[in-house]
Amino acid sequence: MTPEQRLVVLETLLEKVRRTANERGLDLPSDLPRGAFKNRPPRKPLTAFTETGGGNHAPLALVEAPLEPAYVGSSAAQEPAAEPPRPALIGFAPTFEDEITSDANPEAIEAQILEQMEHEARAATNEPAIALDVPEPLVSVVEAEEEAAVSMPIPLVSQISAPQQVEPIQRQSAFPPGMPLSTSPGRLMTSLPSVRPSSLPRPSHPPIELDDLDDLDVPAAPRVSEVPKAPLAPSMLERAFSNGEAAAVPRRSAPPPAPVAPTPVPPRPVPPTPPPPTPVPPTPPPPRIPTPPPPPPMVAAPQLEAMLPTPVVEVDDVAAVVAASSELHVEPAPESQRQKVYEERPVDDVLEGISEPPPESGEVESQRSISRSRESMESRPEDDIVDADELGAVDVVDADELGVLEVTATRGLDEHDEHALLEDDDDGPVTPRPTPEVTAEVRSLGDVDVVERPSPPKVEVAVFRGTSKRAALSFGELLDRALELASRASD
Amino acid sequence: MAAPFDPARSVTFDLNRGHVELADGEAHVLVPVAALAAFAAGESGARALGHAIGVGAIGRVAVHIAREGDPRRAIDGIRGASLETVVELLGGELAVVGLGSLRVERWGSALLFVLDPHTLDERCDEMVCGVFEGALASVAGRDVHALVVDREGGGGQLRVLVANERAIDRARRLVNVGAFFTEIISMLHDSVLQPSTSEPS
Repeated sequence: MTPEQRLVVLETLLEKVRRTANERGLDLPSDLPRGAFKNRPPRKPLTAFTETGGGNHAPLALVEAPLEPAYVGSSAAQEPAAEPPRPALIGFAPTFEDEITSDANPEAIEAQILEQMEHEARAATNEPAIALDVPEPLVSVVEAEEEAAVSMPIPLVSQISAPQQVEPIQRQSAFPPGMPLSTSPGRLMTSLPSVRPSSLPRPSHPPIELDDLDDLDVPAAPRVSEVPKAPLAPSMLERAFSNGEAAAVPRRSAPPPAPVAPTPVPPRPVPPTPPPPTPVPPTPPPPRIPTPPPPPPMVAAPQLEAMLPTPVVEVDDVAAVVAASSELHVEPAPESQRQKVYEERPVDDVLEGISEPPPESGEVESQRSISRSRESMESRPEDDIVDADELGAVDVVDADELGVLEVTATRGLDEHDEHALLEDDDDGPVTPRPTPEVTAEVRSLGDVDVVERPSPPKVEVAVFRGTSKRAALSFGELLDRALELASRASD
Repeated sequence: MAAPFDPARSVTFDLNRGHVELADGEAHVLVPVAALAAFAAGESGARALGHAIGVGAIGRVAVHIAREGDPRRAIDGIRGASLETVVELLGGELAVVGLGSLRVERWGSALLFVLDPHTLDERCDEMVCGVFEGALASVAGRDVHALVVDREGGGGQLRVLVANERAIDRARRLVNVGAFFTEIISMLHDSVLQPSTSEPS
């Protein structure tokens, strides 16, 4: 069908519609110009796909879908114009379209158009601006907007009046004004009675300032014990613990309280929580009590001192002790202590066999300990230099002999045994006796040369199940085994 | 005048094969004269002839071993020797005689003396068994019985089973019924698997 033929058909249908509308008394939009359809701009090709074949592999053909433009600015645009026939965006094959236009019943089409127009007219009377906003199927948004622009009545400049003052909408409450509003009380809350200012008792005294609270005999804050025993929230309990006034709360380490018959406590409303505490100025830390110095470390007392009775040393005795100790240093060393000089002689001299010719004075000193011996000589008189023959004296001085303290002379030869030195003293250089160390068992050559040791435990990673390796048997053994073959078998 | 006698290449000892051939290529076996005379006189059989050959061979082996040790303990030397040593020495003696090349096979506890190749036909089986019986009896210190359990024609393998009398009797019955030598050996090893077939009459 050519566009010209289509125009003829459409105009015919439109004429029928107008005629029918006039007969039924319907308010039709303003008439479109007769040549409106002829003055259409060229169609915009809209690419659409259609399936020309029924098979899955059929080629797709491009068809041109007609798009009806909107006519803006026409004289009939002030009135809602009839909606032009909407083309389908998805076009069908021309043959199918031709069949529709050729075989369709004009009466049925007319009836559909009329019904649609009535519906639109009815909707335009109620909400004209919204009526056409309802997108119809297969109509693009742009087209809908254009159509809305077409159908919207555009007022003329002369018809434009002063703008109306729009007052804000006063929200109307759903409840009447006299109806009291109250929320349902909670579980621990009770609805407070409505109190009017006039019903409040007038205070007979001027308002009390915070500074006057001290003059008044009013407690500043109620104590926990005075607070009515109402179920407190956990946070309140924690706060009470932190204040340190929860002494009545038994601790785990405290002994269990006496069994008290539980008395039912009626639920009471929670007292109003006090306002948030004002920032408290930082209080200076409490004065620290000077801790006493740590006691001196405990030193294990010698066993001898533990056995002896500990004398009570008084202040007067200290002077005596000091005096006695000073006398010890002043007094010449006893004979036993003078032998110490000889014993402190380095052992190396003895071991290496250094034989220094003794001086005529009989002094026995090693060249290696000159400095030390000089120091000792300077601190004692020459009479204290003893001979080497004076060995063997007892070096331990009894404390009872001194009268005050126990004095023990220490030897300089701690590394060697005293008796060993005394025994080897006359034999010259002392050499350490080698101690035989038995590292392996030595046997004679005639015995077994192979020491059998127990084999370590076998760790079987894989067990061989095949034939074991044949032992290297001699020919005689093999012959005997062969002769024993089947010797016990019965016939 | 004819050319003088040339003894060169008159006798060939092929020790690898155990063959003794004269110039004409005929295989021969060296046998003791006394044993041959007794056999010829009908005083002894083929087993006795072979027994004489075997005793002579193991005697030479003992002499060979006795050179390195005590001659009075030559037999003990053979018993204490390894199987390879005995096979080498005894096989050399049998090869010189012309009985073939010796090989020993161990099938479990059984010992099979194999002559591969050999030049003796089936009529010499009794003599061959006598050779091994005579050679091994002196080493074992008791009677040894032998039986040819496998033979290949054309100078192939000749397997001789060495065992006691009872085992040889059982093996003989199995051979008579056509049992293969491996079956015979396996039956000898398993006392439960006894031959159910009786010896054909």
